[in-house]
Amino acid sequence: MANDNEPQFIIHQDTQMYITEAIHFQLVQMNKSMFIWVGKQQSNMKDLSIAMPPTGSQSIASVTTVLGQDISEQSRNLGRRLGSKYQQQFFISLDIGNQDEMLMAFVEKKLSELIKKVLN
Amino acid sequence: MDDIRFPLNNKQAACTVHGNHTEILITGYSDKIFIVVTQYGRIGSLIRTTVDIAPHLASNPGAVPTTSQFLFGESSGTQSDLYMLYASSISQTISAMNPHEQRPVILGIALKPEQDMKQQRQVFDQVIDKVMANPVW
Repeated sequence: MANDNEPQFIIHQDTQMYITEAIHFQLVQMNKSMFIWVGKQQSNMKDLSIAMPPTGSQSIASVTTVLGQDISEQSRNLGRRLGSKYQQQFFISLDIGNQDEMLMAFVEKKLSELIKKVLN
Repeated sequence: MDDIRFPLNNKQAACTVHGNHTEILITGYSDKIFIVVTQYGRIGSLIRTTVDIAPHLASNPGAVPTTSQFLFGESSGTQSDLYMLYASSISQTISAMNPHEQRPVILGIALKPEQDMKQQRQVFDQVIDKVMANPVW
């Protein structure tokens, strides 16, 4: 049995350049649950949404925002997609502004690649 | 990209209390401190705690009044009362260690229910010890 006094959460980090800006990704792998933060160098945790995997006859994950407003629904949309695809709980915190749609697409793409590596 | 360092400050710890693996993760963001304390390997309840006054202005920073609110998870009952206690105690511990720390604390917590107050106290003491040993403040 592994030493029970060793931490079991696995933290994955990555940094990707978007034009001239560094975009940082942190994934914390927990028990059937993952905490995702994506942000810039100023590293704020601006908002937080939680996606719960679908249960029973549902096919789509339900998601709610617990911190911040997520006016553009970026965190929630992402959480809903991930929760439905991977059938597990996701905590999503995005601090990338909500003006740039191309940045959001870039983040989604890089994040999908990262998560695929981690969860497969 | 050589001069860009990853901006988050993470500290991880774990201990075994009464046979239960207890996982602790502390992450420093610029605007918040995120702490996970769990015996289930995941977050059960989320609580946001702020200090009512700047700790360095209080006569005893370790007893600074705090305000906590549940963001997620069960928010009534004895277990959630216990979680509120953890939330305020952890914030007060941080204030005692750094009276200039003003970031709100987001606590994600899930603990196995313990009937015995003495046993509850032992879990609490060990968790506070680990938090004090792994500051991001």
